[in-house]
Amino acid sequence: MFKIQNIRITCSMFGILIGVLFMISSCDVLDAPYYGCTNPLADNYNANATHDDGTCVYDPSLFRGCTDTAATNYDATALVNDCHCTYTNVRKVLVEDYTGHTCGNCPRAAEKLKELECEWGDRVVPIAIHAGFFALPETNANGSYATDHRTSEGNEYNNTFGNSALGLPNGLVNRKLYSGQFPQDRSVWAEQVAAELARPAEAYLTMQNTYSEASRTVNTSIDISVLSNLNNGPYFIIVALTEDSIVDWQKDYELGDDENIAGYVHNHAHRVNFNGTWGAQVGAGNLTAGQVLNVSYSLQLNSEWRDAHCNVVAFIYRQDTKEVIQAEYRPVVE
Amino acid sequence: MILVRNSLSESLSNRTKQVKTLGLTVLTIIGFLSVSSAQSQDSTATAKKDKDKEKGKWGEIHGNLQFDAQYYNPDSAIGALPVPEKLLMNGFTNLIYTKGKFTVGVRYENYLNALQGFDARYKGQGITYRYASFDADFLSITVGNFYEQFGSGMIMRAYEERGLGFDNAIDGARVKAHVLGGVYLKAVIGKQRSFFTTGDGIVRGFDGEIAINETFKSLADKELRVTVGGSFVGKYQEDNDPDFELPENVGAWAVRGNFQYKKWSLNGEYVNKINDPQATNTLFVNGSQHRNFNPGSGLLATLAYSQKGLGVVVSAKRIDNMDFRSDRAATGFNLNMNYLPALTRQHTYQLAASLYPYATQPNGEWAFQVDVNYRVPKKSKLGGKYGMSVALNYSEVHGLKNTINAEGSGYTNTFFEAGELYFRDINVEIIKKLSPKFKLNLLYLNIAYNKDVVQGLAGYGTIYSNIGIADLTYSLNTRHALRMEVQGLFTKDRADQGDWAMALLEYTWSPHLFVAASAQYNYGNKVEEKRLVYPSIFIGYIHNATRVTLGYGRQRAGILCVGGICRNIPASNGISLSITTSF
Amino acid sequence: MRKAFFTLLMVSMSALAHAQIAKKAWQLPSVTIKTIDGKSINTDELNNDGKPMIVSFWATWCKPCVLELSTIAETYEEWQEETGVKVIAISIDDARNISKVQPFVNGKDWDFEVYLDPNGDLKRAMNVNTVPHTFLFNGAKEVVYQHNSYAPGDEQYLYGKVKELVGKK
Repeated sequence: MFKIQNIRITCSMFGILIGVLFMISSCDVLDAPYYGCTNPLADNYNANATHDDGTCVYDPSLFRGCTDTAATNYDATALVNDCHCTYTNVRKVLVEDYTGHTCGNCPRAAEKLKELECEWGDRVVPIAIHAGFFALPETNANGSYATDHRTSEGNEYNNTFGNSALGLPNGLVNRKLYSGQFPQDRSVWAEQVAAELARPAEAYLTMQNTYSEASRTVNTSIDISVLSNLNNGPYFIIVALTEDSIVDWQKDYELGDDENIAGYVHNHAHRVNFNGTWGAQVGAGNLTAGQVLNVSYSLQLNSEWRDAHCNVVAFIYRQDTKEVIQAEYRPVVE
Repeated sequence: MILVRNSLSESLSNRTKQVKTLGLTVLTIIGFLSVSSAQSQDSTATAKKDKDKEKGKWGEIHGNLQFDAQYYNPDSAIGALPVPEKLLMNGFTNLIYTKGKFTVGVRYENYLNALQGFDARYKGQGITYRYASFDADFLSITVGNFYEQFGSGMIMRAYEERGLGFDNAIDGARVKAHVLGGVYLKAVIGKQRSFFTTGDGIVRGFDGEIAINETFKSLADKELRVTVGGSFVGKYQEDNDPDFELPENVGAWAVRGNFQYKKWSLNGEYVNKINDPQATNTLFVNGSQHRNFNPGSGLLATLAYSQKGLGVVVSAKRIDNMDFRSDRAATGFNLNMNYLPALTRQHTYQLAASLYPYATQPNGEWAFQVDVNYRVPKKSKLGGKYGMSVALNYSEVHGLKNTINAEGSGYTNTFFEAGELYFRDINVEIIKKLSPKFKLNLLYLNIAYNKDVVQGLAGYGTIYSNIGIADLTYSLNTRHALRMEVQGLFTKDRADQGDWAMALLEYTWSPHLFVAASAQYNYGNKVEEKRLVYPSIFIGYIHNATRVTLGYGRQRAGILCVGGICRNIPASNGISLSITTSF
Repeated sequence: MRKAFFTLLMVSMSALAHAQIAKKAWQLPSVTIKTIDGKSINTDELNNDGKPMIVSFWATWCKPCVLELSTIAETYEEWQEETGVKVIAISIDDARNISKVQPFVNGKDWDFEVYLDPNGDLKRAMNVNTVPHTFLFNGAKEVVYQHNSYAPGDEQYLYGKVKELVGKK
């Protein structure tokens, strides 16, 4: 009896010691990031700051332009990044932000997407899809939230991927499944975008838009150059129209007293697809390296849409998993 | 798994299939109900006879089964949006097989599709819980899915709350040891359940508890009874963030003590967690969202006095950045590692429980509660012939006063300083048996509810309301009883939805049947079109451990809270069926 | 169709188990719960010296549970005198209300043995879905009757079963 008791005690004590040591050692206490302006050229540059929080104020005399040497529009004279770097012949990522005008947390996601656009230039292809309960138009005395920004294609995407059902905001990064679900919280967009952009490109999309003001018709011609053998066919291409700078109502819970913003600027809102909700097939089945295909569409802009702010967005995806393999966008009026 | 939308014709045939499945299962249940009722009559006799023969030979299987189905009619007046599937159903069944010291359990769940208000990630069906455990003398080992709680749960709690759709079981291994008479040790490791898969982070924990009076024989008979305990819990999740260095191993520790002396008892637990930036605790600074690198802490303390006929409890709780999950990006009821109880009274009457209930704010709050239960003795002036039960409760919750620090990735605050009012509830309840046939419950509440903070909205402010409830039970005879309930909610300045009135009538026929009819009327709503009536009727049949409930009517949008976590239930109109049994 | 098959399979398995169980003896499972003092005990230690035992799962926030136990409390003394039955009330209150259980029980003046099951371990082991759920054990700690939910008068039915046990002894 006594011996058994002894063994139990010894084993337990040993176990406790191992457990405690294991627990104590597994603690990563890190230095907290210091948010501030990290650009030495800015007026409010903070030498202690480790992470830029977008508050940099620059002297207007400083020339702004694309400061990334890898970009096609790199300007050696530019001192401040204007967030409009463009790239050709690189992999690009489609980021869809599912949002709604009465969703008070959604402006945070829009801000995150803007951050990513600034960091990666046009390698991040953005679309905002208004869908679900928080995108419903309202009939209020002052006419607020009366606009319906939803689109039939956007609604179908929302139903398919289950975004608004999980509560907005959330988004899709290349329409990929992460841990068994499509909708992703904005806190992981940065790492997912970085991981996707690090992958080698499988195809290039070269887009050329011609716009006729008289008829308000945009013609888009897209060349698809396949770089490696794509054996997970069939592949489809979706070509869509988005519009920037739409000034309309939006709720924002972080504003304090009044959460309603009458003049919020909505960007890259999805308007319509050129070729149907799920697009059209590219080639026949699998695609082989070296293949060059072309698709062209034309669309007459709706009277409410402002041509100067519209963009044509195109992306190729695998029909079986819906995963996007390359995306591209260019303004309607070049 | 691709979530492709069915075409219209496919969804029609799916619906017929669902109705067929529903019908088939209902028939089977009714079938075995009759079989079991026939069997149970002679169960006692045969049990004794066959006991020695059957026991231990093949082991035993027991389990339970439940499913809830609802058919939704669109009702634009109350805001009930059309449901494409029309019929939604949640179901689950548990089976446990025991043979000697060995136990195996399994649970099958199906959501075809999940009821409104449940997380949409509950979709499909499958085995979501399975385990095998072995119970030796002083050691117990479980592999597979299990639930576990360390102390009060503030540092780690894996549990299930089916009504809310909450289940964060750990899928891994657990070892429990009981040595030296009063020393309890537990060690767990695993990944947590996330709907039909597991979360990203690995959870590991260790807990030790010493019941001093049982461990040291010399103290066994002392009047002061002491139990102390401590825990370490950690999680590991890879950091792939390109811009920030995020902690991959996040650890938390806790100490707790429980002291009992005669009629007094003192209980306390303190938890501390290191930096843990997550999606749920970001800070909004200078127009942008910043990651929060603050450590977290939690303190829960309770002092209670109880004697025959009187019980008094005073408790306090301070939470600061204690949202602990095994995946940084998880939101909603997903991958929570701990449980932060709300220090407010849990109400059950409709208007008191589902309009303005409090939900714990894991990012920071200070709560305080006093609870008194007193039994006015029989034959006294106030107590009457049968005595009277009185319950008084006062609770108040405030936020913390945080000042963002210079780095913008954390904040400072002082321990005792409390900020904005989040919630206040003053209530009095009297339960009195008026005569052998009449029993009366009277309840009055005064609630202050900061809707913006508690529900994560803006523009609603704090809603002040008074609620009065009268609940009278009339026993016609030993088997039949009639219960009448009248409730009224009165808000100050017609805030939010304004005033509500509710009446309920319930007839019970022990032990098998109950019928209830109720109506809620939002007569005080500022908007005339929203002054609606919500009628509903329920009928239920109970046989031993089986209960079948059928309901029909309008259900107003409300909040269902269990513990300190709440789920929003949208408004609905239609038929509901619920079957539950255990065997 | 797979969905229907699975559901049917589960239901028929449970029906089979149910039919079998009516003949077999279900003993109180061995689970660790806590006493009202916070001490851990195993359910094996619960007994009533060969006399019937009522185990009722309840919670401070469960109105019908409190009503059931209050009603039994009124006639508990007579029940004990007549049959020697013991009522064990297992509270499934979690950390939110667990400290209130002892004062609540005293405030209501109940004489039952009260135990705590804060994480639902015993509740799960006994396949309890909702409370109130009451079990009646015979002298050999085997389940002879169980009932879910409570309506005034159910305690009379339960007591009838208790008397049956004692009478037939």
